Amino acid sequence: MGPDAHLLHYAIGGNADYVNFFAVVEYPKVWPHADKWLDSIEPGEAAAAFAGWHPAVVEMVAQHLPVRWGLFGTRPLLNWYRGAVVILGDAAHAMLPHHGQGANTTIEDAITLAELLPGTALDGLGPMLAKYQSLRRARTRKIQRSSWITNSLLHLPDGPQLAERDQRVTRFPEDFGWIHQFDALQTAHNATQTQRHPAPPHA
Amino acid sequence: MQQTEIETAFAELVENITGTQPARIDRDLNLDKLGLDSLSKIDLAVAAEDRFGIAIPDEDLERFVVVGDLLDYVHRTTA
Repeated sequence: MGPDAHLLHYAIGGNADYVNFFAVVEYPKVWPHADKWLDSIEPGEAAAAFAGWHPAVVEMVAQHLPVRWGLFGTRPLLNWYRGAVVILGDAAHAMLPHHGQGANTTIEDAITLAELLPGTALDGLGPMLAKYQSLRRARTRKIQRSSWITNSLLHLPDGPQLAERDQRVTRFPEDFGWIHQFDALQTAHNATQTQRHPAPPHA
Repeated sequence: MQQTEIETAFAELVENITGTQPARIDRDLNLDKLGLDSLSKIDLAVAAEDRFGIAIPDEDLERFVVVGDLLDYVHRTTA
């Protein structure tokens, strides 16, 4: 992590023969293309962005990286369905990738729909989709927001905030357990049980 | 929507999310005192959006400090 940039890397392949890395910089602040999220970069541009970093980082970005990807999120949506049409994944809650939850939350959406849908008659579709939306909207919005905040924390300038950020990193399991320990299937299952067996009215 | 209706409905939402008794909630109460941090405030915002049929963007949510800030926002937006 460093001012306006960070780099994530890990070994991949059967024998960990390769290194996959993800180098992020804070610019351009405004993406210059309305119609594409891939852009070419000049030779040496990536290397210049990480000049003075750890030698392993410098070595990774020294090769010519032909393209960069713009990173985008979407504003939280109020409605995820209309009639019999429903959205999930990035269509509903595109997020920055810093929690690695784009695909995971999409699978959670799909599991939720798969748990709620069986046995739903066509005229019961509206209430079922409302239930799906209510089970998913707050959670995904929190991950969207947290990813956005994390972007800033990963790219802090040098200064006193670094110590606080680094302290927070040591509390990762406690702070982010809500993301990683979530059980979408159980949550949806519980919701269907509540629906089918509502709590008795108060005496 | 009447202010009193908003306050009553809002107190129910807060009770559902934080367990705080409606009698303990007043306009000047700091949202932090309800045990709401920046992420759990989103639970409250989403519940309020569903209840009142409005949008509460993250950038507005971040500015709310006390209960009254949120109540006024709902009142203005539903007016």
